[in-house]
Amino acid sequence: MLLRLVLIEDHQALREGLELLLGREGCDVVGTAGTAAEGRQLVERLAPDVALVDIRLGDDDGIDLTRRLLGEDPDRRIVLYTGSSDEELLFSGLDSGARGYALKDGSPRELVEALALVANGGSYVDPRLRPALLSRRSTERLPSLSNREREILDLLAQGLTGEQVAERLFLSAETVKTHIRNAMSKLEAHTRVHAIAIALREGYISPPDGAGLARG
Amino acid sequence: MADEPGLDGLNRLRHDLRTPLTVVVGFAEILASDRELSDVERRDYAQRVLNAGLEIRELIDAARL
Repeated sequence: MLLRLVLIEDHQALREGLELLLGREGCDVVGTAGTAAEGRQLVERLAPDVALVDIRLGDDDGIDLTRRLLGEDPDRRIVLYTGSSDEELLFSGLDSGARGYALKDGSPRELVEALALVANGGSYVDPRLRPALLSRRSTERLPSLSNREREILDLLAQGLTGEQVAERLFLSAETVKTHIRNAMSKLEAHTRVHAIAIALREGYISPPDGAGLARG
Repeated sequence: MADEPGLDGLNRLRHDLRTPLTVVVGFAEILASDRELSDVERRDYAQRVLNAGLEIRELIDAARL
């Protein structure tokens, strides 16, 4: 099934280019917007599988837009899109509740993989941001995660959904949710992907191999 | 754009440069690899690469890099 996507990007040439490039990669771009207000309306009206939101939308802020969209409906799937690998921006973006964080350095195919991952319930952080994630390892110590919590976050980081983790570990979905909630609380994370980012940064889990997608 | 951008200015500049650069790389890859493009598509994509390249040059000039 085609991925139904809304694109929110203020740069007209990139917006039009992405519509074409992602269409070639098999996405159904159901709507595009150049401002936060237009984007919000589109997402509300079209309920896409996933929305790609530029972090800087001219005078608007893609992170604020993400917070607002997720405040209305926490189940919305949003991938933030940025040309900056700034660490503070990354953590601010992850705090917003976005399930994906993609850099403009990536190829259209990589971007589609990230969008599909998030649309299917996973999370994504661009592998080029791994140094930024790891650079904060020496900051304040956090309460230790249990082995089970680490194991679950590790599987989430490998791209499994919560239900798949439950199946893999022969646990109930509710038990897995409880472990994730506890891990998020210990790590002071607001979202699953934020918890994975902190767990990577703190060295509780190892970065996934291969394409380096931080998923979960 | 400030003459001597601070950290935030540099991050903004990185973002601003990578935005049209994404257009350049995305369409240049298609031009280099897709042998089935029509002439119209080829001209369209080449024009997009050119426009984005010119925009990058303007950004670099404006930032006095």
